[in-house]
Amino acid sequence: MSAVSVDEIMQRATAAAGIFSQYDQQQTDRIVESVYRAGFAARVRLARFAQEETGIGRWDHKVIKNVVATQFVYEDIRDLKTVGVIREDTDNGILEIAQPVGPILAIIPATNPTSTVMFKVLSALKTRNPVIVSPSRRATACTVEAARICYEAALDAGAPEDCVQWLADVSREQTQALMAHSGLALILATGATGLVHSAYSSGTPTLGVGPGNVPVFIDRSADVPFAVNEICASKLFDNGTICASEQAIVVERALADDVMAAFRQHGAYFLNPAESRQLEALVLDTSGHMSADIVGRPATDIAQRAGLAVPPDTTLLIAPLDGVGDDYPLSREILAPILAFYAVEGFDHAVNVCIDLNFYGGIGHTVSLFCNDEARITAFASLMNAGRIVVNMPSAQGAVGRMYNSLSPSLTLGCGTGGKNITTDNVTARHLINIQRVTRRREDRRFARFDLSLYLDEGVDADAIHEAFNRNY
Amino acid sequence: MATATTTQTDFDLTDTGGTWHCVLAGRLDTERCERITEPLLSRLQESNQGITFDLAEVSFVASSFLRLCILATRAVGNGNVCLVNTAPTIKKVFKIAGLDGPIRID
Repeated sequence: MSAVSVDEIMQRATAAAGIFSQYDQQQTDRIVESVYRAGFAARVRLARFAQEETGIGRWDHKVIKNVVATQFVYEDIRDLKTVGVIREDTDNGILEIAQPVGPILAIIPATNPTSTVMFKVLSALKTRNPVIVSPSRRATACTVEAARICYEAALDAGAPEDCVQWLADVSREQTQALMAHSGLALILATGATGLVHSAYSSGTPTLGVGPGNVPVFIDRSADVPFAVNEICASKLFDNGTICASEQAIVVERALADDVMAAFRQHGAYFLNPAESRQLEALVLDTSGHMSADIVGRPATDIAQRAGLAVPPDTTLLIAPLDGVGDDYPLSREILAPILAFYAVEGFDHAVNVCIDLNFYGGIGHTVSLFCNDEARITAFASLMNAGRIVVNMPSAQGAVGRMYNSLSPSLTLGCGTGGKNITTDNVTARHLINIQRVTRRREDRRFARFDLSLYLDEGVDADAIHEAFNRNY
Repeated sequence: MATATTTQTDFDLTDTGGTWHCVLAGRLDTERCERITEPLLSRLQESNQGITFDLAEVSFVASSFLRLCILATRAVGNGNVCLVNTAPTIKKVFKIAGLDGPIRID
């Protein structure tokens, strides 16, 4: 759709929105099932395509992402009411009616391109919203292919023309014009911080994400080999490209040797201070941001580029650090098999380091702990600023939902106001409807029999009003 | 006053003296709209007179009916394509699509 103007794209999208408004729940669900089946059937091909095009991550892990985005998401939304009356509360006289929000712009990241397309298209179509897919430049072809597969399946099931569109070759200016277009209802912004900020600045309502910087605390009550196994399963998943994957391990010093030994059994290589500095020079670009060149690359490849001599079976590079912040570049989010490591004195110190990490670029996102002490879990969780506090599970898969817990499966993880987002929820189809409330008359009898003139008398204080208002004769 | 009537399987078209009156019924899906678009547009272009679509018996419109209305508007000018007896669900389609300006909906 390269030759089409922004206005034409929006005209098509608004026409599709109009047509979609006539569909009932059954017709809508038939479309969603068709898209799910087509996306699921293409899971391996699209995973290979994404890995080959971007060079990021592992195709076999991207298959799992595609499964989450289709099978798990479909299971989550299949029975969800999204058309017409979705809830009736006769006691309180409230009737809720779902309406589509309107055309949605879906911004797709290079790290999870095909899975994010399928997740967003399923969520949009379930709610009768047309969707315009905006690929990352690094993942355009696989993103467009995923969108095309979804669109054709939707059409086969009777969906409106142009209910899925995609931008194959548009300039940054055109994307910004689209974001600000008066016909656009919502932006689902998953991607780099700059792009998410552009979406917020456009004036169009946006469900965005924030960056992560996930600490994982291994408490002394934890099962260390289990914890390390789970952390490796998460951090090595798709070579660390999920923003909810662990970025720093925090342990009490008494556990440090056991934890390090367990990581070494999984192929981790602990860097010395000089090696850490070599790695810092590689992972940050000239502006101090994470270098795109190392995102989703294997540990051995990164080590080689940094000039580090590591064993050929190295899976993970771990840098023991003394602090958090700009003086410790490896304490920031790095979407690759690289972890920081902190050995500290006691629980309080550990929590303080986790707070530092959480607030150093990851506010509102996700934190993780391995712990079997309920009091400590509650204390830890209440001190963090995170939408998801995942306990005794791999953080990446845990935050995405469904595989290890009951969170809604999602590839758009809200980070609350700390991450400049409106929600801490895992964003799903539930967020893509406007809910109208029909309210029937249910008088508050206290108000009806209350002497309203008391409000006009400044001599009557709040306690007196409260007593009079609630008097139960 | 009707001066001529054309009855086809898909639509009834009557020249009311300066304006075409077109009665449609049922589901205006893609296939059906594609069948009627060409003959209707030919009439409009030949006669250069506006058209009123009577949608009293129409239960659903596809994108292609919106396209037909847009093409008809281009042929005869803004305000000269009119929809009458429009069901609320279909009126809403035109509102959402932003077509209620160039196309009159009564």
